[in-house]
Amino acid sequence: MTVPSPLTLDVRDILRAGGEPFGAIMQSVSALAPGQSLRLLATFRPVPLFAVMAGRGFTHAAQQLPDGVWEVRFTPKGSTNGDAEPANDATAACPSTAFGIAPTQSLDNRGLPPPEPMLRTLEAVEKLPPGAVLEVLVDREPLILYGELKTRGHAFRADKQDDACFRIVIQRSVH
Amino acid sequence: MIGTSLSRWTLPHFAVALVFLLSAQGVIAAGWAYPAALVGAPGTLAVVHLLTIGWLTVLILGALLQFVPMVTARPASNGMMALLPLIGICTGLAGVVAGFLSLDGTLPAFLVVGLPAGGLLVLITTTMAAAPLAAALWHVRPMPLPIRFVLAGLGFLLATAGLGVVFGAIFACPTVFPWGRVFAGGLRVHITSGLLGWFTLTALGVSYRLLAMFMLAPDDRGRLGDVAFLLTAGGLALAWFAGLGRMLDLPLLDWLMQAGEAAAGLGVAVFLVDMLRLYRARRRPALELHGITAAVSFGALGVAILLLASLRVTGRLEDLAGPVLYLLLFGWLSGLGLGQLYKLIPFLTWLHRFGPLLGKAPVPRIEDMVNERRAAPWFALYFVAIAAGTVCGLLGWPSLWRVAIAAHLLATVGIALELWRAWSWQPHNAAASRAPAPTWPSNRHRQQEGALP
Repeated sequence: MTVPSPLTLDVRDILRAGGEPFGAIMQSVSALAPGQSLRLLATFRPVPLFAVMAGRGFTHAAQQLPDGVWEVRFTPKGSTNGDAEPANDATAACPSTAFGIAPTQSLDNRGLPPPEPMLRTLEAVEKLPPGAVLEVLVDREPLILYGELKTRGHAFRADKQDDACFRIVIQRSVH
Repeated sequence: MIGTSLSRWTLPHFAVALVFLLSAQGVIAAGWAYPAALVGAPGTLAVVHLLTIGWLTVLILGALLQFVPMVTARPASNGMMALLPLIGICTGLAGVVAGFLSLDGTLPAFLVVGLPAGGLLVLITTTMAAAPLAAALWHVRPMPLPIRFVLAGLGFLLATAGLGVVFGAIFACPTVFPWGRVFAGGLRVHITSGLLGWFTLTALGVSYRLLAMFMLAPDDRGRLGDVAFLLTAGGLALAWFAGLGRMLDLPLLDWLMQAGEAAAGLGVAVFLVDMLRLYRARRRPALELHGITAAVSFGALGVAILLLASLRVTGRLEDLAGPVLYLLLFGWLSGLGLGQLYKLIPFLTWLHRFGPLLGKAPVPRIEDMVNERRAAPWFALYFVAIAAGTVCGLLGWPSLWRVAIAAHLLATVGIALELWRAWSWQPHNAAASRAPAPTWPSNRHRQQEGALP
């Protein structure tokens, strides 16, 4: 059985124009043939996308090319199309389907001073439909946020990605 | 009450501590303490303990009540039991102050019993406060650098208070405990373990965490942080044990004590270099007022350590200990404390008051609760007055010292008013409601954020 060659999507022009490439990326994902990989070219390492794609059953391998461009290869899990390196990012080891549901929304709160990350997270959680899942990236473990999530009855999981990144997956309470 | 991670007793601790600070400064400005009464005079000792127990110990214990849940992921101790140590410390401190004032006849002589009794109450209640905090911190693995500093500081708290109780017993019952020589030799150990062990080590640890958190700087301090900890904590421990042996006339310990103090001084220098690295590595370019005041306090710490070393070498430390202690107590420890309170009081007040509303209703911004342009001149006056007071003390200018002390008191009152304004702030109108999320700092990853299909 032949393995289809990767589909390449270059979103650098969209990013440089200040646009949002997410829709284009998801269109390309929908258009992939079974077992086909997606090769994404971007101006930065699209960390939140890793979690979204993991939720859709893709592993990732990212590398920065000599000209500064980020090349990310998203490969369907279980695919024999193995020219991509195994994902070494903790995102893959800890899929965002922590609650069996792909995140409805993803927030990158890194680089924001306290208490802005907590404020943005709670605002996003309260706007979610009951049972929906929010994924958040933060610089440090948000222990005060945990206390508030417990008080409000929202379930959450936290994973340390590296020394400067924690990923929190929050499921809004159904009550 | 938001969540389980916020301590409800931290802000009351801060309020009590500020009352003690203002009281002590008022007494100093009224001329009841150094230099009019010299460093070792009972009145000065009473004021010093108002500052060290009432202000700094209560301030740091209050801060640790919030610090510990934030680094251990354990719920804060919010039961009424957590308030008992504060009540005990205040009661014990009253006994200690009464005991000192009985020594020079200001109060009846029998109140000298307040020294050992009050000291013992302070020791017991600070142990009650410190033990659960230390136990919670002890189990954090791997143990981050700030926790190591704080644990060492808590150890010195007990060592300092324990030695203080022994001194109290010597003062109160000189016939039962005829150890005047022990007191003479141990005073240096008591001061070093209190100012540099308990207060400074804890302040270094909390500074690492707080400044990194608010300035968005790396938490991992690498080997430089480890070296700073080993030199300061190890050096002070060596000096403490050598000092104990020296009180008992054991040989060679004078040399060991000086080696320990020198290592601790070197450790402080390494810390200051590392803190400079932390400031330079911050991802939040604009410094808030608490970041600026902390930097000035670190400068005061560096100058105080240099003064201590040079006066020790030249043999003039006995004569000029007063101004150096003044710089350490007010320029370094109190300056850092007041500056951090200017950040922490609005931050914690905001979390307590508006935390439960987050995401459910518009809330004001923390920036609305403070006015840095209004507060900055008070902090500037505060540090200028302390610099002037230190210089006047070193050069022996008592009249100008009085002026500097009055300016210092005025500045502290101004800062305390600003803290009270932040705590009691009320949103005035709809415009005070939370503005759209700030766009600063630009973060390229944030470009991707948004609702997913």
